[in-house]
Amino acid sequence: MAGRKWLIWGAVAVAVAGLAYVVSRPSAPAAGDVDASAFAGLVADGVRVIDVRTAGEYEGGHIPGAENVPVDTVPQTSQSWDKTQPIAVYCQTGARSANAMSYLTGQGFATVYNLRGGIVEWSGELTRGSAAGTAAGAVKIATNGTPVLIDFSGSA
Amino acid sequence: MVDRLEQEFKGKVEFRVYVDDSGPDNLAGTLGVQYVPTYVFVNTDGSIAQQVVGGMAEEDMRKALEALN
Repeated sequence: MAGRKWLIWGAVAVAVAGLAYVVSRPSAPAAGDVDASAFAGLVADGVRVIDVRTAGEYEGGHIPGAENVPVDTVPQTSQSWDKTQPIAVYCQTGARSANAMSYLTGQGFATVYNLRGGIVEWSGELTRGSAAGTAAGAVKIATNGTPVLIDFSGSA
Repeated sequence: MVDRLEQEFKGKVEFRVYVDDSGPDNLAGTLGVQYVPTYVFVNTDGSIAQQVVGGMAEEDMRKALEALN
């Protein structure tokens, strides 16, 4: 009888421990705005990270592994992206990336995260350097030995 | 405003204006330009320093031009 009692208590203990594990285990946050801590978890999990700032801002410091796709180029560049793959976007303060997230969600991307508050809230490692190899950095403009301003205007 | 700055930066910065045109070799498409006006600031080495969508204040544009190298 005593042995059976211990067996029941043992089963209860295992059930409680299992429940505690399920409740406490880390899980992917819901899509949408996430804080820097959750965003760091996404980066660690290998989620595709998109920096939607300008190439200049990107080169000044970006989250390691992030691709630079300036926000105004997202509509064109994202046409080749896998819509089932989670995507995490960020910018300087969270405004531009919120627009990018809204656009991507509207285009049918299943899971899009936005770093709330932008990179200014990020306390993790940053990488400095060129955006070469990314969408913005790959473009080089021919110059005649001076800087250039290209003005795409709607009218004269 | 752009005309004024073009005079101010004459010899220092080349101004290329594309009106109702995507530029040579569909440059607008290459740069992913979707809206006008869009201003692309390019350093001497051809790298893009900044791409700004929408109107800019004259002072902001002057600072962006001065920051080019």
